[in-house]
Amino acid sequence: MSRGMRAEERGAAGGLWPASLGWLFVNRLQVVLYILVLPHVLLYPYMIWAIVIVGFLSHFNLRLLAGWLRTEEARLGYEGFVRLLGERATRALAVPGAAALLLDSAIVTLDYLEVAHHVLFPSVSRLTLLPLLWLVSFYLAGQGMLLAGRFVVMAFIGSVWIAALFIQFLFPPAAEYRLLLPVFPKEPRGDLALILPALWAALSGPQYLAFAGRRFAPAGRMFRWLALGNALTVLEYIVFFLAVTLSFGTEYMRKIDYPVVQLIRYIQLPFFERLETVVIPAHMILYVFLDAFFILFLRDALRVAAGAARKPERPGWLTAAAFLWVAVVYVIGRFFWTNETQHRLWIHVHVWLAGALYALVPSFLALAAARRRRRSDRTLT
Amino acid sequence: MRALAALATALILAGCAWIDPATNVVEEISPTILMYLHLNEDSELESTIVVPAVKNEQKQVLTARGKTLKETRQKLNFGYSREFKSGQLRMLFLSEELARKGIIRCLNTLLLDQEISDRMYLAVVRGDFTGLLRKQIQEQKNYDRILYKRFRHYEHQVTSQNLHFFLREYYSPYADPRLPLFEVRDGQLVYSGTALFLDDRMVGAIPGEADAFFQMIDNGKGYFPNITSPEHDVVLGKVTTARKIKYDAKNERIVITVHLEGQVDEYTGDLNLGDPQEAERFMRGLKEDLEARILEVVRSLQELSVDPLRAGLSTVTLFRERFPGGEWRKRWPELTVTVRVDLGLSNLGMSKPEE
Repeated sequence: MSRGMRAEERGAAGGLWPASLGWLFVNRLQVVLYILVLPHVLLYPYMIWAIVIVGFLSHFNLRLLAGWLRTEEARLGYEGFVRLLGERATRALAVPGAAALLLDSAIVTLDYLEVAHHVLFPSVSRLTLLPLLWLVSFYLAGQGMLLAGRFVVMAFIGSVWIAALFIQFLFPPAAEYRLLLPVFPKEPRGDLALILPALWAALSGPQYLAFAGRRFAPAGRMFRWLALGNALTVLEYIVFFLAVTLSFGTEYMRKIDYPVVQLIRYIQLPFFERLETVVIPAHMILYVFLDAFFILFLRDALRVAAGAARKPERPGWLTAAAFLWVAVVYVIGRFFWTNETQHRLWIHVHVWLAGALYALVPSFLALAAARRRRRSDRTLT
Repeated sequence: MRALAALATALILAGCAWIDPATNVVEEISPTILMYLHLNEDSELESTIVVPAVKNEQKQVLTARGKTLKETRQKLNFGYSREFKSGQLRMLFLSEELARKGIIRCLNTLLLDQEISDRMYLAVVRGDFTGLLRKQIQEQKNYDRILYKRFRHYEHQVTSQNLHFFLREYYSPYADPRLPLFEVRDGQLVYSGTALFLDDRMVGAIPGEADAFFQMIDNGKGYFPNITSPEHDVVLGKVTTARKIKYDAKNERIVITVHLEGQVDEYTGDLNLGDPQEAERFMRGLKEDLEARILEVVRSLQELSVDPLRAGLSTVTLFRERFPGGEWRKRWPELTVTVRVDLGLSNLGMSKPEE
């Protein structure tokens, strides 16, 4: 224990992320997609159990991720991937990796911009806030991976209080508890084949940490921190889901585009109303963190794909990544996200893409590391 | 650190950004807190507003007609020196004529408008409300605000509904919406019971005299300054009620239990309440009277086949819905309802002076 602590302190002094940052990473990377996913899928009261079940599955997935982060290969960064897969495969995989990353981050960002457009600025283009978001993310990315990663603390502090606003909706007069029935239905309604993947996608996000292994200070208790973050996410989701269900009920919830935002608008403080004008911009801090993170990963992926990973770092790569990112977001937002139907389509794309990445990346890497370990053991004997 | 502070400020203030072509410069707009919708003889929508809500100017009552709500709004704007904004809209009055035709289209339009809060109070008015507004605004400059204060004050004693609750009950298969009903009588706005809705159409009303009994079973917890029972020559004061609605599956009936506590404020009858036996007789009689009156209210709801009590929700168990789909709607009017009142009166003994 004390050795672990010391290792963490050393890590922090040496410019690494302490393992205790892990729960913040997991938690914020997961919840950032929540507003996007919930309203379209979780309609019936019994789905509260689905949140718990998928939360458990995610827990085991994080065990794989923590296992991978403990390996030597994860600590080596690029060299580790080359050791596992070979240089050519690493470079080849970086291309679809970058594409998936771009698509994922574009959808997440655009969905946020869509909410801001819908609620705050209905009479201007949904891309109005994009330059601001991009500039801030670019600036943050320019501070380097280490600082951008530590910004998760700010993102957490800046956004976690939003969940506290919903606690009042768990009590009367806003809450009608009977709306939660039947919570163990004999004939469940709704399409579980769509709900479970969507929930899984709502818990995705931590897979990106798999590529940041060398940033973490070596410490043995990584998994506990990751699991804590996951548990906190599940708790937050349950609070949100209960608040929305108790206030709207299944039938009304179905009719509303963003029940979560609708509920924020319902809050009336004696000294302040229309809280959504503060909550939605404050939520942007999460996207600043996320997009800076994505831009940095994109830069790394581009360098790997171009075969420049071993060369000394040049700032041009970051600029290229930032411009590529904003260009993709703009093009998708401007031309392929113009109506409700396309919006739905992108949500589905996101559910399957993010879900697949979250399921595959940790297990694939853990498996590859295990295979290599077995092979090297064999060669040793 | 400074960069960080600038960043945080930029993000938080993004919500106030002046990038909207619809400008909100306070001097150029005129928010309103009250709106009245009416359907006239030509089936045209008439919308009436009171402007300005905040400035120290002579208030005006403006009316415009049109096919749709937004059309009337546009006409209102053209007819007034400043653009009228609905961001502060707190009360929506609907005329009985409109309410009986159906109001969901209007409500939907208002729900879609992100400026309008779901907390907006709704009410049905019988009579010439526009005329009343015109007259009252001359006499009491802040009549619109006074009305709003009145809504807030009586939130727990009379029927009080906002957009959120109305729509929740409208969409629920186990409940029907209700709204307060006001009447314009002798130049005053008088609360006169509860308007009952089937879907989005008003189908009837609980009259003012019976409204307290409706409130007792409508709210989980209630408070009434006074409840009168003329038959037993008594006025109860400081009455608090707690009600429970249960579905008795074995006998297929709804059981409504009202626990009522209070004190005897005025007694003009002949019984000597200081005497335990007479007091008990009095209590029994009063209890039966209250039960009968509540049951009468429930019967009238069943006759209209509306369930504003949300009794349907109590038929849903942890494991299943007993009346899924629209079945509750069909069953509710025929169900047996039992009403039980638990009377807990304090302060009986000194009511009758010795002769």
